[in-house]
Amino acid sequence: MSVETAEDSFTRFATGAAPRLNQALISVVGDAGRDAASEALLYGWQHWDRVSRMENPAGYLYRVGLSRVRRSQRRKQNLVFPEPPDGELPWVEPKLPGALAGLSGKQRATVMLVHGFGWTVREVADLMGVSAGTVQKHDERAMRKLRSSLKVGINA
Amino acid sequence: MPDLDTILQDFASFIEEELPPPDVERVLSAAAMPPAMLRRWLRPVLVTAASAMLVLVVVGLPVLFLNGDESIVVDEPSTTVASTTTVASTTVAPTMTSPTTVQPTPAAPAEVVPFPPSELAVLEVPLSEAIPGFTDTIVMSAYSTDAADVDVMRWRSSESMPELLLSLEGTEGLVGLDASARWASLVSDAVLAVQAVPTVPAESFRREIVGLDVQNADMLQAVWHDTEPGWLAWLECPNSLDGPATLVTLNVSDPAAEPIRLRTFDQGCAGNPWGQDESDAAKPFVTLDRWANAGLWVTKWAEDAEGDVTWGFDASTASSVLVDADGTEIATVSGARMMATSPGGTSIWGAEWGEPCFVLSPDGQQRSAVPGVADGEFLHDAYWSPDGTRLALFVEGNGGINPGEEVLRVVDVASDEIVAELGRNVFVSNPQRRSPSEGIGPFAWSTDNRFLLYSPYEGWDVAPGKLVFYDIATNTTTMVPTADDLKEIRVQ
Repeated sequence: MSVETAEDSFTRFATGAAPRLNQALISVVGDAGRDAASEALLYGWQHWDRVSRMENPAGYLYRVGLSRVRRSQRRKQNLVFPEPPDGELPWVEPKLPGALAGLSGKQRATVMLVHGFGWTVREVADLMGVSAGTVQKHDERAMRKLRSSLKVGINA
Repeated sequence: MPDLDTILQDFASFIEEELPPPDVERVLSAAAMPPAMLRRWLRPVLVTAASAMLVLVVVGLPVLFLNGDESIVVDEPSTTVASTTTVASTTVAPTMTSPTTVQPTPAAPAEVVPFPPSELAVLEVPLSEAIPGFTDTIVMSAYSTDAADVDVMRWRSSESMPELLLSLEGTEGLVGLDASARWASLVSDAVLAVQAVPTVPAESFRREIVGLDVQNADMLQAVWHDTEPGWLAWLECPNSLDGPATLVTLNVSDPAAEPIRLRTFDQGCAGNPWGQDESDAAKPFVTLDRWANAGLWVTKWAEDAEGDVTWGFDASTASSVLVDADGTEIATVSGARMMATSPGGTSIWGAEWGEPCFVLSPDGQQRSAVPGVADGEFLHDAYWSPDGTRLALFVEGNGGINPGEEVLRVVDVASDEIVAELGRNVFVSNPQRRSPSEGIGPFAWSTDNRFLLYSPYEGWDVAPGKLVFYDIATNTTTMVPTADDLKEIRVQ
């Protein structure tokens, strides 16, 4: 019977967590989120003996990723998303990146993760380390703002 | 135009394609380089603040500090930092920061406060001079800028900067501070733990692992008693799905006290938020919300019309029960969520958008309108003053408020009169923002009911932290820079 090595267990964890960390951090900070996800995973591997014993290692590494971005972009307020190509699929509402930039990071993360990437509210709450009620509030406000910015009705 | 969900889903697909997840093998190969060491030069805070200031003075290029190289292997401490750390502890004065005072109306552009390149603020004068009339001591918790650690700080009004009392490394989550701010509860190594907050920095402390006697169990949630120091309540869950949740209380300040298991809730753990199994999502479960003088408020969540249980998302599926000291359910509130409780146990509840909020008597039997909230206005948050005579309300809606804007309104509970109101300067960090309903972080009243302390969110949550002091007596707000990412404020 083979014993799982630390590398095996980290690889197993990271394979599942990498897409979600990537989605969450990009939702909050834009393009820089991908590098932040890489750095967070690296941190996780370097401290795997401790991180592996945590209840919510993905949530922990999410905060690590945000800290990395905070250090490098402390004064930068620009939020950059990839430029949507014209006429190519999937179609992207051109005003959406600008509208998302008008939200707070938590609001942006909430609407992107819940409505864009299909996370449950609980999953978002767990990752952010906040209550689901807080996620709900962020979501309500963010969706109202987005509808107003994009001139989209509730049932449109 | 497609609906908003479709727009967001299309954008998410585009993002997935353009920015795929990191490759795990590359992460592992990157880590094959020499082992990295974490930057611990940010602590202790006094040394850190001073050293950073010396860099500012000597180098004169704070931007370099703020925008240092953040390559993927970041953890080798630089020689610059190491050398300044050893000599800079007495260098404080050159980069002191003044608080920023903003008059409430009309809105004036906020002065951009030069935030010191450290975790904490340093004022030119003691806090009591920067905030005339403020004489309390603030205890606050914040996530550290280094990874996911948590710091607990104290700011005496006689001091010009906070002092670090406690730094909790490797914390998976800080639950909160008790009513006296002498105890911090946290989740560590998958169990609920409490830790004494030292009264002086670097004082030895002890950690109590509250959950150790709960083998094979996950701690679901915990709350401190609103006003009784040291009293902690939490919900325990067995690892099996569909298991009951057990409501437990403990006086952590009494070394001889044993946990008191009040009662269980059937299927309370079916929707255990720590669970990894998606199949447990559509099952009822309970959350622990508040421990007021009248009892413990526990919310039971049921399936919605589509058969899903979405924890905290849809108040229409919520049924909150008030549990007394014997574990008996003495009141029930359905379709609403609790916002605040008074020192006497009176509570304020909000419902879904468009539904009226209401005040509930301590015994849960009588409902009345929330003072100071007009028809058509939406109540986002409410906070009761320590003496119970006033309410601070964050309100959005119509009337004199621009649509989408939010005001901070102080109301006298007995007379229903508005004592003070802040309009566009609620979020003083950016009063030009037309729609400033970004949200409020931690909030506290001063002990004399005169000041409101809160931390507003900014467009970027990762921006340096700011603490706003709203003086009701003079109707002015004063902003001081403080620790990033504040989690909780207690005023003593």
